[in-house]
Amino acid sequence: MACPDPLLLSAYVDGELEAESALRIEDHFARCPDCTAKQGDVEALRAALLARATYHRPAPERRAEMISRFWQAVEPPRAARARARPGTRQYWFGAASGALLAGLAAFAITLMRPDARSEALVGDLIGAHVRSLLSEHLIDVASSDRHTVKPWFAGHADVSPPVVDLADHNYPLIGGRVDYVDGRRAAVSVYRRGAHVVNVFAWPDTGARLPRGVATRSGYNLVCWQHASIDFCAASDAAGEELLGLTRLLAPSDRGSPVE
Amino acid sequence: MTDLRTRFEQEALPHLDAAYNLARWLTRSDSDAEDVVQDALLLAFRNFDRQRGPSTKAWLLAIVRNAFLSSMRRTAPRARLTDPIEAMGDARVPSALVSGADPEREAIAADSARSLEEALGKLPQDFREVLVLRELEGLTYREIAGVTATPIGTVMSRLARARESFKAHWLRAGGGSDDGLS
Repeated sequence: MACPDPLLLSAYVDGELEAESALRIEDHFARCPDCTAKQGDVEALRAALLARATYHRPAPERRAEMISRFWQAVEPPRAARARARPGTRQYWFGAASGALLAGLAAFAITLMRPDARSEALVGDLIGAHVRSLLSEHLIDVASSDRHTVKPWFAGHADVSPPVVDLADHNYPLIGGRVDYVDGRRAAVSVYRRGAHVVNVFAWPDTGARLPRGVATRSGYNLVCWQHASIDFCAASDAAGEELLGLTRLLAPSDRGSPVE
Repeated sequence: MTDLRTRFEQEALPHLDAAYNLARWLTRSDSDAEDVVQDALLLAFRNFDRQRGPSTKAWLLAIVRNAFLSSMRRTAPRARLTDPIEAMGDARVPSALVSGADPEREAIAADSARSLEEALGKLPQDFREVLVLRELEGLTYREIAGVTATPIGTVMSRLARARESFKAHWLRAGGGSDDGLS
């Protein structure tokens, strides 16, 4: 075989070739140091970009500002809309109904139905999981040693849950992080399962109802359980079954069990 | 409405960082990137219930790219040549740095990150975006084809050419030698 087009080589590295062409290229690599070097270059470029090109994220306050500006554009607050109209009567009506609405909203939040609150919690957790993957902020303390991670939690999070290394079960521990869940500083143990990252969030129980079984949102899975007044939720894009496997190891029956 | 809001919050907003990252690499300015993302979010929200394919992230990135192109058309008369180095003054977080790394290694890493960003910044927009989508966002060829509204074959050849060109720029900027480039 003559040397493959750079286009095919590049697609090979991206895993975008069908099996037959990929095999033919691999066959060629065995005999062509030139192409092997070119393949190495494409991989080196990828590694360098991943490691060093800035993944631009808005600063947290800019991020919050963007989101709030967005919601305002979508749905202007009622009081503001009423105020835009002429006439004092409407103004007062608008202001009063705005105040009433604000009061109702505050009331509704404190009495939010457990389902709605649980739904919000699932959204929070998946959101936190996705952000940990998108940004470089996956790990604050990188260690596969649970004796390093657990004490670190004690100083940084609201709880210091048991941390176990499950490398023997193919869930190696890769580190820990602090994240914000349900108004608390949650301790997040980060595990790996094959190419997937699993975030296990732990925070003091606040009475929010945990979702049952495997909850799925936008392709991410979530499994929650409770033990000793600590809420736990494992989030990942690993298959639900793999996540349940981890959950069973972390929450043996004598230490609480997944919410069924 | 509330339901739509909830779904948008859960399915689209988690990709806000990806949207910003792409916008920032395209516009090369923090404030322009914010404007583009803001436009894109509104468009996305209004079209959220229409067909958006299997990947919400790719769908949102396509809208970000369109919003960027329209903003370019609006401001076309203004010269938009930004010095890629000057645009680097924002909060850059060198990736893969965890607390406790030694300062000397960080300095070398920062230097080499600079030459790499410089090289990426010098690429034409279609090369830069395809590299960002593939290497930083990890999209598949099919998804990139969707985002950039180009046939898959074009994505393939553009990516191969982008890599060649990026490698050349990077070597010229003094990077790459420690990264096993031949």
